[in-house]
Amino acid sequence: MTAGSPSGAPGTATYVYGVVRASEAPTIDATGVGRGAPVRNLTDGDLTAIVSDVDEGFVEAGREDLERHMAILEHVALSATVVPLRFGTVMPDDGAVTAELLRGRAEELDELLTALDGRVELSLSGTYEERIFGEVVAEQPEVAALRERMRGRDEDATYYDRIRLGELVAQAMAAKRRQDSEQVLAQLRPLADDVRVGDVAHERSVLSASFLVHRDRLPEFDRAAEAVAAENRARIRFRYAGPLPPYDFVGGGEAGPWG
Amino acid sequence: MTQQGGYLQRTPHPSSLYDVLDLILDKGLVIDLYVRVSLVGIELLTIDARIVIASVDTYLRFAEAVNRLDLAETGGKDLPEFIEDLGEGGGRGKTKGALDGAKESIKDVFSGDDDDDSEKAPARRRSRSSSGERSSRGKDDNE
Repeated sequence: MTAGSPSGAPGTATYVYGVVRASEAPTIDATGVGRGAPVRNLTDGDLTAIVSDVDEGFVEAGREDLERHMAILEHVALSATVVPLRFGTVMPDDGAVTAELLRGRAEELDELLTALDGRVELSLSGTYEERIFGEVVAEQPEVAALRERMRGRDEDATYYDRIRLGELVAQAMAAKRRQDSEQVLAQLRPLADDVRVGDVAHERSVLSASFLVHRDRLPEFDRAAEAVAAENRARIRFRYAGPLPPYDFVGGGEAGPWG
Repeated sequence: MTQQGGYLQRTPHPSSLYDVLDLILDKGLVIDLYVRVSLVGIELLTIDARIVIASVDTYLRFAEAVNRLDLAETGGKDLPEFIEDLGEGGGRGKTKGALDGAKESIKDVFSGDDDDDSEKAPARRRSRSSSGERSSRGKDDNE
């Protein structure tokens, strides 16, 4: 049964962090977003929503709320398979959570929890080191030639040459990005149950990918990721994070109000 | 702590706040009718962190990066740090709402405890930009 006080009091709404199987409902001693009410479990049937009370007018969130939302879900994910909800999900009261989420979407949640069972998300992103530009010059005669021609000349006078040069570099970078990201994915995909490749976030991005990996395979995946990083150590800097709640594997490409 | 070699360290959550925000604001199960919260208390910038790759701004930065290799070869002076001007390329074509801007500004707020240097660089205009370069800036190149 539900621990803590159910909402429904005037001026109170229910913030939802995520959903787990009731059998895995966690013990949480945490402060929720907004007014800082305790985080509690709201169970109906086989499903438990992780919730906390917020002010009814809770429409403005800050940095601390983002951190709490993330920390709470990470804590839950330590001991349970969790379907994380997008940040900022507020429902009118516990009754709405039960009726419209736990019951209303029970089938979908059950399928997700089955598919995600025992799995976590690992995030890997790579950025080219600046020396990648030396690689481009060495491999692209036209880039090298253009660079030579511009050497020592006034910046204004070379404006169009610079654009042309940059365009060639951008094309070469795009080809490298394709090649390198394919190679990285080829090495890691076999160890994952699912993969999401994100948009290129900035100019020197190689890739940004999320992998759904069974906990049992975490050490294996670590070794494979390490090998990838070692192979590319001179040219790509990787960032690797997890285990995370499977944010990337619960909604498809579904757009939220701001997504 | 994970048992790994020296080239990669797995961290409990993304080290760049941009990545964190990308996860919790853009991902996760959506219950359409009930999402009401917006981010405030943080100065909104009109910058989208995700720059557009195929833009004149990007070309000029790439050209600069490549030309800077010359300085290194000739043993020139200190190389200026290569800053990726995340914002200068402008936003994506479509507006996603206030949170897009929020992401970027929050990232700046957080940058003190963010050890990643490539994705947190605040937008910065190079002072030596010629008028030609400036006039070349535009959002027409956006995807």
